Amino acid sequence: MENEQLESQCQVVRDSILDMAFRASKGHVGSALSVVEIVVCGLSITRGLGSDLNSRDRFVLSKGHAASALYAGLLAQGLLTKEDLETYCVSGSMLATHPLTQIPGIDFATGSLGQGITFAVGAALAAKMRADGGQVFCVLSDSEINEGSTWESFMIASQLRLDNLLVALDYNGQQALGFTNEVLNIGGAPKAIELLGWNVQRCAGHDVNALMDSIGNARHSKLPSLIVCDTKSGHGVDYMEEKIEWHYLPMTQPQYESAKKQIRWENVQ
Amino acid sequence: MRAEFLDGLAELAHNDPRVVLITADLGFGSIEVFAEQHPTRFFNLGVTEQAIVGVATGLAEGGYLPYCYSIASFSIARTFEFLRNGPIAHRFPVVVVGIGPGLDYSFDGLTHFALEDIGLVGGQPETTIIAPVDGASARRFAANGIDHAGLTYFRLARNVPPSQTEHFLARSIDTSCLVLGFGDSSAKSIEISSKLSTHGIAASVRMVDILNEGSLLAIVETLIKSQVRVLVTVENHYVSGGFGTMIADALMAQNWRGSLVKWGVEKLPVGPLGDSKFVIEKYCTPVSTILDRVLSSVEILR
Repeated sequence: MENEQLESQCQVVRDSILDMAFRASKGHVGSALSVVEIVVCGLSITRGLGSDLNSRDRFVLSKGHAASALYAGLLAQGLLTKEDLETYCVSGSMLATHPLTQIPGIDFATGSLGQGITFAVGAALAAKMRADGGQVFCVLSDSEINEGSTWESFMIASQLRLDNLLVALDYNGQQALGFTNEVLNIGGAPKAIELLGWNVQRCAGHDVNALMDSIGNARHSKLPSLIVCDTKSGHGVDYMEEKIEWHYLPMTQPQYESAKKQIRWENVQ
Repeated sequence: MRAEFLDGLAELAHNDPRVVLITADLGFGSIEVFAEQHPTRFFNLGVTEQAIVGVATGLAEGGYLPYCYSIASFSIARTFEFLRNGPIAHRFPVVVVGIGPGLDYSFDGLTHFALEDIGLVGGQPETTIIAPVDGASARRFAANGIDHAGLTYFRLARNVPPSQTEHFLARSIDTSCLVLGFGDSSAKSIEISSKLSTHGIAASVRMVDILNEGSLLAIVETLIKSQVRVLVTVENHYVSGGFGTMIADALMAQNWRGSLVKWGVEKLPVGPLGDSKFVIEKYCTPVSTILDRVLSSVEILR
């Protein structure tokens, strides 16, 4: 898929995130806008997405609270419909604030931080054992670096030389109650992960071209790969960007209308 | 028991290519058999109990049948959320092998005691706990493999002599008082039965080695049909929340009219430690207390 097509998918995803959040009066908007490009690029390289083939690639949203970005990404991939997205957080819907495996394209139900990456490591090991070329793409939040199980996963993946595992770290510097450097400083994490035996790159996380280049480079590595994606929580919406409270807040009508204007393609470049 | 289990698992792995064994850096002297016979399906992933469960979940989703091996307390209490959100929620076949349940690691103290593991996973939907009564039984269970999705938890005692007791379903129960032991509790169950006998109460002894929704229904049905009126449950676990509690819940749901007396770990085992006999006497229900409660129940039910 051409990068221009990915960029237009990002537009659909951004729009859909805002629509879902506003309609449902739910939060986690900032987190979802932070990973739009990562999710779109990750889904675009996931072979067999939504199929039952065991040899398919796996996509794991370890930061499950950004589920609306994933749902919108699955819409762009043709696995969900606009009508599906309209059921987001409606009673009886499968589209909740954290993803469920009853939804096509979702292989593991996440929401408890530090668990998705452990599953991703197991999925990558399974693909290695099956020797079918299966790849695993995992989206990790920087707050998950706080979790011990995340570090356990880094060590295991390195020890097992899981070069079919690619973790995209949403490095937006924020977590629920504060900035990461004020809560638990993870500034040294990328270097530490590299020292544990990972192929570590850094890129502009809202730049589709940069992301796809990094993904391409990762595919040539003989080590598990981490792409440290420099992102902004609430990217594209001025009153949300790098504001801690937008981890939780729902939008008012004027805020929604303002956000919809701001995330138009010409404005987020 | 662990050696017999791992021998049986190595045998199973010859016939089932899905079987994978992951250890959290434990099993010295027992695990080598599997590692040598199946080197491509054996992984020591270090002291990472939580992550191992997540890795096993990913393996199970990818078509494998992973067994996670560690000391029982680290296998369940530490990993519980990963178990619940992983194999239990997704109905992926993951097997946890926990060594040394209850007070088994006597001198090692509280950190090594698995006293609430049955309580944690026993009530989880579609979960099975298997607690072999002795080594031979453990080997059979391992070699037979697993045939259901979701979590299976093997609760393996360390040093248990060959069981002299009968399986719950071995034959009909012909006494109105029954001592019902779970897993590695056959010796204590016999001791309790003998004590009751010396006070004129005939009590059969039966052992349960599988705990799940199906086995609970079968147990309750048999107890009611056999007209058991006084039931003594015996388990190497806290008396609250474990085997006895699950049996009680199931019995009450069927309007059972009888009296239940539970033997198990009564107190927080923080304090003096010793050999198995010492810690049991120190922290478990005194057999004399069981006798008093049974005598009282018999009197009430008369």
